[in-house]
Amino acid sequence: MRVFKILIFFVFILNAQNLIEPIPQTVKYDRQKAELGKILFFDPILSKDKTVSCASCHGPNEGWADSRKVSIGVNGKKGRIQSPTVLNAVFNFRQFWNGRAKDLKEQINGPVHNTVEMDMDEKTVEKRLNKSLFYKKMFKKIYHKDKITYDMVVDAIAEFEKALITPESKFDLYLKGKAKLTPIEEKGYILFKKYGCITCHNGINVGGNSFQKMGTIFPIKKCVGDRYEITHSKFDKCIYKVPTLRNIALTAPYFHDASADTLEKAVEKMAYTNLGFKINKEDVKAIVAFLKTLTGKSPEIMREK
Amino acid sequence: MNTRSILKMKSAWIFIAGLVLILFIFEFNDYTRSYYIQNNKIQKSFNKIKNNELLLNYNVLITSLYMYRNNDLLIDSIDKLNRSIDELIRNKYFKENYKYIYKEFSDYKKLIDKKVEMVYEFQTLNSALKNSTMYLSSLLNDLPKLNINKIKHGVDVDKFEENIKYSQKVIEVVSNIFLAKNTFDEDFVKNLDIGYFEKFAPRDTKIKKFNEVFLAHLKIYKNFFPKLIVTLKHITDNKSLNLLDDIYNNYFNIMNSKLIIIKWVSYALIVFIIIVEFIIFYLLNRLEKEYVTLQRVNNKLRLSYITDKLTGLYNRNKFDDDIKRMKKPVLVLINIDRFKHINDYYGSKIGDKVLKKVAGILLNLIPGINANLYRLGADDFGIVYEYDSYPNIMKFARKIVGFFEKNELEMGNVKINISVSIGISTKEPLLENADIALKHIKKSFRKKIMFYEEKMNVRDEIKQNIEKSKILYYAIKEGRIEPYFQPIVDTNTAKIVKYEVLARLIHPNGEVESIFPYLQIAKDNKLYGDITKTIMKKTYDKVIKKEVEFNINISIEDILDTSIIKLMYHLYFKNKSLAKRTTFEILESEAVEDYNEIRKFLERVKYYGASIAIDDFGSGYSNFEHLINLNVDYIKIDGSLIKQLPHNIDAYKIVKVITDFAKEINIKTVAEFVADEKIYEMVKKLGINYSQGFYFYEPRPTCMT
Repeated sequence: MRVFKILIFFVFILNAQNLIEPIPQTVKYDRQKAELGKILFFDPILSKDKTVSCASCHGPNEGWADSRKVSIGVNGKKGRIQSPTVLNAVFNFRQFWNGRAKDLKEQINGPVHNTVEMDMDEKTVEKRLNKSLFYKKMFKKIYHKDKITYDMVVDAIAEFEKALITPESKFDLYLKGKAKLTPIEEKGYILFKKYGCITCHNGINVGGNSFQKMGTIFPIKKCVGDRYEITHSKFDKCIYKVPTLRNIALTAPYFHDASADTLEKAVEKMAYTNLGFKINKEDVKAIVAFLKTLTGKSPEIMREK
Repeated sequence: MNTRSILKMKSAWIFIAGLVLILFIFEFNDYTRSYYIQNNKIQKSFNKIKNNELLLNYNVLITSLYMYRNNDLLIDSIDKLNRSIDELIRNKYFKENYKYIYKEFSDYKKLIDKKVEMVYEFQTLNSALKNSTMYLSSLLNDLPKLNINKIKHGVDVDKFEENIKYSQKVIEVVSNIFLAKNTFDEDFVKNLDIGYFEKFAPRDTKIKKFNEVFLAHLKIYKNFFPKLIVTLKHITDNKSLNLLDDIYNNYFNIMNSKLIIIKWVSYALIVFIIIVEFIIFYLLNRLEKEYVTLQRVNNKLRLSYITDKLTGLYNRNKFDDDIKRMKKPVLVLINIDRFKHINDYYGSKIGDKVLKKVAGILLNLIPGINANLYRLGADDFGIVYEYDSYPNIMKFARKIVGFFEKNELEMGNVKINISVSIGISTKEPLLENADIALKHIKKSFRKKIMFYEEKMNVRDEIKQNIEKSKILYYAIKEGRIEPYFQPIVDTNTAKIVKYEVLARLIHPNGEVESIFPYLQIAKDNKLYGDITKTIMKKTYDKVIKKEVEFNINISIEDILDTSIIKLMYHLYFKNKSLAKRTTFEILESEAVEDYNEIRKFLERVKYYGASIAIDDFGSGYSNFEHLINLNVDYIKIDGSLIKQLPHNIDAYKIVKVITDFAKEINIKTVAEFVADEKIYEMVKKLGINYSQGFYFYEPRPTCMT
């Protein structure tokens, strides 16, 4: 009986939730650690030849993603996949295109260790940072330890990434009743729902909360870095984590394979491969207008100073 | 090992055992507390996990019903479930105390991990199917338009019919799909005539395109829908929930079995406490009994401490205690006269009987007052009472003395007459003072009862004695003992014939004192011989060159001292002319035990030509027989008799007897203490040969005429 009551209660709360939730104004994070993480994020010291930092592929001016088709790591090595944005990554249910990392900390290991990205091991990271008087002092102040460990580095960067949220997008303000959408934007939102985009792109991050197939109607040819690479289940071929649509206007090119360089092309491609029809230009225009309302304010931690 | 160390060890063991028990109770208390707290936590965790899994199931079902829904809700419930599972896995108490359950629980976690993967798959399937459903429904919109186009363009009937058939097929399929979607029954999807649409090949490109897209969506349904049903079934099959229930039941059973341990330990503790209580009760009881015994022994000991064994009276200890508590005590100290003689004569058995009898008599003689009788010495009894209760002490004492004068004691066949003396004291120190009074009684002949008086006290005398012995000691040490010479005259001519050497003590301030008051002390301190030696030496120096006769005093003790005899020989006997001028005055005393030694000495003196005089004849120990035996030359009649000559006829008679006797055996007489003319006349009249005294000359430092 009690369980039943609890269920009723939950049903009420859950159904009260909107399909898309606004981003909160702030999230809880340790400011000191985040500031340290920020320095590390922009410091190429973490890559083997000291040419690549996190920001190399997640550039603040490129929507915290990479405007190149694939990212380029140490020694000019090319990656296989398009860099997703770090913005609001904290709200994703998994990290990476195929969701192989369950949180930000786990994600950080990826590029640091990847031979075509930063190509470092934990010991080298520790050795380099411990040589730096600046970092030693900083870490000592925050972690109260004389020796810097790899875990501290990851912890600090993850803390910084937590802070990278973009509240107060026009659409969030609309959801809160603080702004009005233009007719075309509103039409875009309705089409977004009508065409079923919303079945996958929903929740706080307008995506980032399920795995879905790319090309359900008309399959795509190249499926690099899909979920199959992890599960080796045939079903998981061409299945990716649904990317967030927040700040989508800033993060061109689109898709894991960078096969669309504009939003319009991306919308057209999704309509064709996953819905099986050629969407008309007006609808594209409206949906793009809606998508542009998802661009939020730049993260607070980057604004000050 | 002695009993004391065994006792110590025993108490150490009891102490340790108690400590262990207290530690155990503490531990047990800790164990019980953590048992309840931790198990509460675990139970809560289980509840939470179950609720969260149900919530996940619920969210999956809701998501499958809605056309589209916020997937965050599903993801949130997965997160929640995982968090609650992690909470239990991280619980150390659970891991350590329920190892088997913990292992089972990790199986459950594996199931949940699989389930979560399935939920992700469900999301993928569900979204695709929902999209297709939405798309198929909007496709139906386009279908009539297709047909209208055909009619407009005047296409032949066959084609038209074909199109109609196609439309009917499309509607049939879509309705089946909607049925399937709403009933979750895959049978509606199984028999979809996909082959028809695959074979359908219209020339119209638009229709062709339509069919192509329609077919793609149909295939999604054909492929995904059965999968979705299977996935949903798996997700909601309660397999993991049942496992969780089993695990929880197992856990609950084990937890209960642990509860039984706690129950039994609690019972054991209660039983133990009851036993300990009984033991303490028993021990206390025993302790009290032992205490009573101890007190009895203690009383006995105390009684024997204060009781005289022989008479059963209180003893000196009790007396000392009692008088401390009294305000104005009176001590009547009763001494049995000559008790030593009774003991010697009748034996100590009778002596003891006498003491007992006396004790009994004294107890009866105590008047009706609050008084105690003590045995304070061998033959001393003390009666003590408060002065105010019976102030007429004398009456009481007389009663006691009178009783023993009138009655004789009967000891079986022996009848003994005893008398007692009583010393009474009311001043501290009671016993000492009463004893002093007793001593005074013994000195007198008639008195039987005496009160202690301040003047009886000999303490000053003792003090004086100490002072005197000091003076004497230093005088001898510093050579301040000097011979003085008192001339002795011929009674008839009053001319000096010889001198008596008298020892004088010269005080540091030059004052001259007779040695007489120091003689007793000299004897007590063994200094007498030293005085004699000094006088002999100094006298020798003075008389050696003077042609005078002189008398030197020596005691019996001196004669027995060989070092003095040697000195005497060395100084006086070697020189024959000097020996002839020397007379030794000997003072008799009761110490004379061996007359042989004395005789030998006297013979020797005579041999060298010296003379002998008996000093103080007529006083204490004068013995006529000795005079004859010892062959003396002179008798010096005691000064106390000479002094009394003019007044005391008895003294006169004694002196006359002595003088006559001396004449008879041809011994010369000397009168001492001739102080005045009257005495001199009497001495002359009695025919005493020589005289000496202040009437003629006082002693002087030289022997010059």
